[in-house]
Amino acid sequence: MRTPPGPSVTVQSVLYCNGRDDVTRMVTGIANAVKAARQFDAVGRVVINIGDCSPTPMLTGAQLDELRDKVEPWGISEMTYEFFADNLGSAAGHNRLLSRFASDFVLFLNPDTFASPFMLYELGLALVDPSVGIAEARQVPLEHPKSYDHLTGDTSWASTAGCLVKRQVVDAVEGFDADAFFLYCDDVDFSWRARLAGFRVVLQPTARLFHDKRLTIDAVMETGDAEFYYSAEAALMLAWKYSRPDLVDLWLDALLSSPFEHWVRAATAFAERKQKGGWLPVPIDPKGAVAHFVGMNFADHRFLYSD
Amino acid sequence: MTDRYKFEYGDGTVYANVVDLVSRFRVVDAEVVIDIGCGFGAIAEPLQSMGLTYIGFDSDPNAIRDLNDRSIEAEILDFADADHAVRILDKRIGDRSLAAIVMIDSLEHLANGEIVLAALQPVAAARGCAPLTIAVPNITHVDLVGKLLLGRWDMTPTGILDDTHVAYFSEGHLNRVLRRAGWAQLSGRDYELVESDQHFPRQAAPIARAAPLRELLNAVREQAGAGSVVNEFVRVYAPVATPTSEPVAERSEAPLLSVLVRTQNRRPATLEETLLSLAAQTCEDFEVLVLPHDVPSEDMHQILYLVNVFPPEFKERVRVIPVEGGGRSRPLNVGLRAARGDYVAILDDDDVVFAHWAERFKSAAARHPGRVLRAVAAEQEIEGATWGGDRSGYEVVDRPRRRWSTQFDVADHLFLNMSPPCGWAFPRSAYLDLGIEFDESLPVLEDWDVLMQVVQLNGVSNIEEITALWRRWRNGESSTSVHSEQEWTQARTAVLSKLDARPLLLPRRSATKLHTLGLEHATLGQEVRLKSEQVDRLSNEVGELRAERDHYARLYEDSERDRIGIHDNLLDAHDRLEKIWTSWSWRVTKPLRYVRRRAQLGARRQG
Repeated sequence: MRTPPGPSVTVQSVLYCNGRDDVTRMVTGIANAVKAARQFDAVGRVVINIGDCSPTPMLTGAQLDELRDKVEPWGISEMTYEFFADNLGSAAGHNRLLSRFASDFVLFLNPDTFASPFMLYELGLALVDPSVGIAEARQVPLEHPKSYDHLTGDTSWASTAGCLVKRQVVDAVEGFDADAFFLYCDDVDFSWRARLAGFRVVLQPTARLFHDKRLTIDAVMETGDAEFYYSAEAALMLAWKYSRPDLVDLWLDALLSSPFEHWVRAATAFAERKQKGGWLPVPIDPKGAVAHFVGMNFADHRFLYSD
Repeated sequence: MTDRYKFEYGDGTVYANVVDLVSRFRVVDAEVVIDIGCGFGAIAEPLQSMGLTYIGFDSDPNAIRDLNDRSIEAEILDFADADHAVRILDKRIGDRSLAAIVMIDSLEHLANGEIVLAALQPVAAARGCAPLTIAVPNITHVDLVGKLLLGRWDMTPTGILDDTHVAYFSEGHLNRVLRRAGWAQLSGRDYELVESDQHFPRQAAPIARAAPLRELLNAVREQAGAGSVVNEFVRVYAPVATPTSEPVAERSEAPLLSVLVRTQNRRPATLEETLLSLAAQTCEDFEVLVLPHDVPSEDMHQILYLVNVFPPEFKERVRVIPVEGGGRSRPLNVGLRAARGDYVAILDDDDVVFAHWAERFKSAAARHPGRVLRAVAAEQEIEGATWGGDRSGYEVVDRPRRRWSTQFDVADHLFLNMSPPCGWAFPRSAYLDLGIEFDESLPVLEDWDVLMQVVQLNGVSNIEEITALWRRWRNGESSTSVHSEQEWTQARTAVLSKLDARPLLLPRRSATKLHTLGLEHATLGQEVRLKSEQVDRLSNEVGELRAERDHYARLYEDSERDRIGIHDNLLDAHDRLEKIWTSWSWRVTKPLRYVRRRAQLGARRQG
């Protein structure tokens, strides 16, 4: 079979208790986006690698075959599925999948997403600029509030809910820092290290990605217990790694005195690790060349999802 | 048959309507009109006076004898065997040309009416397509609607519920029977009676004309279809070559939901997201009707391409139906007519929905079939932006906010529409069965108008979750910016006027709600009165204090004037003294004044 012109892409997604419907939706969306991009010779060979951190496999062999049969005609050359038998977290999960990454670009994708037909083409368009290393899709219906330059797309970091990354970036940063980050901020760290390596990170607003996030009845983002815990832990880790011990101390105080049990637990664990000389990442970016802390956010935000 | 059917021809009767239709639609220059179930032939003479030959057929010998006695051609004929009867009838016409066939108040007496109609069809077709005029009582007259509510079914010797009737007709049933028998309607001149022969008991609420219940029944019946006060349908039909089969009542594969997406193709950035959010739904039991409104044909390819580039399982459920002319409501009505779903939802091309939008509608429909399915929409502010220097986009400028109540309340919605259209779906039956459409005379608020009509009749199933995002544009073109405040006010008045035109139907517990509102109103009124009295008292006090202040001000002004006067006088005196002191005479008289002073001192000492 003739290899289609255009850069090759590996799509990778890490599952955690996402059902077959989620996976089907995600794979259908991205395969359709591949088909659409092919109309413009914008994408070459595409493989999809799925890793599964769930307690039990989320996909059976038959379901996988069914999905393969569906998307192969749309231009997906290969689709793999690996049950990790362990909850590795997103960073380690992606690293495991990156071990077989051999394409020009890798597309990190959350399993609860559905790509617009034009998403891949638009992300690829952003990566034509040699200075750009990571192009992030704009999430719908709940757009990420971090600011970006409307003209250039430049932004502080890119969410791995949906972003296309050049191979050179992956090589330069050597994947995600899975030792420091389990679930959250692994993408912030990945982006900042890419920027330290000289690559630009851009948001491509015309590359749309439906992300199945929902609102509570009070119109705030639904947040699970794990998100509470790991986001606090990750924020502390990020501040430490990017040479901001002042922020670590400040946030520890704030988290320890917060009314949220998960925050207190996360802060307590981090404080103990710090006190007892446990493992912490080696601080980098001492002059704050890329790290941008605004409150407990890692970019200027246009708005906040809570009051 | 007895003389009970011996009715006179006259103006304003059903017979006059029949004769009118015969005169207008008969085969020109043809001779014979046959009257099937002619009874005593009330229309015989009027037709003869038009130069037509009347032939009556009836099974009642008395009626035929009566006609023959009037020298009118008539024959006893029993239609129990339709083919046999039609052969005799055809033979009786013989070589004469057939101008028209008439059946007045006879179809409802025939157990085999449809067979008779089918047997007549080839005769009419072969004889110059002679039209068939039928008069038949309307079983859906609003008087009968009211009587059924009372549990009454009053058979009478004649009239709508004649005790010899064996078949009953609504407009729809009549048309279906005629279509199946090979007849297509040409025209009609129905005979209307606001008070039919079934208008009793006259004082009962569903019957009494000014009673609210009767008004409500009237309004619903009229909205559902024509004929609420038709006493008899009087219709004329032509024989057609191919009988029309019964339309399929309901398609079992019809989706739960028809989503009407209207667009003017001015927001390609958001339209893609509207469709994307629909394609990402967790429930696929819906179809999408994209309704490009007044989009130039040369731009249509953009929309067609956009739809076509989605995955097959989605795009196969999408139809693109271009709409031309009219206002904001026009595409919705076009969509409504083309929709196949049990429920209809509306999205504009800047709305986006969450993944469980359709799923929640589906579970609410299962819980409360037939109700309006009302979820909560959050509002989000956006503003126009340019991406990458030359691409039209937008910027989200605030987080979503819930502006509207989680529970639908009719009374609250009379004050303000708290349900953006992207958050609800209504049963298509409201359109199919009750004829509710979007009012094309409204420049805005067409969704509120339909919502208020449907919720009154169908009720609401509340979905207490946010399932959609309604976007408010801070800048750029939107219904808020395009339409003037005057248009909004006029539309609001028009919607309320329509609601005022009929009794308002409120859901259960509304009495308590209104009672509470009334109490609150009364309490607030009392508070306002008390405050108002307090204000009056304080105003009086202020008035008195002002008067006092003015009084003292005047006193002050007077004293100030006096002070200034005295001061002026003093200055004047001082000036005069100065003048004296500096005058020559004062200086030359100084020794004299000294002597006098000494003398005065000496005198005091001596004294």
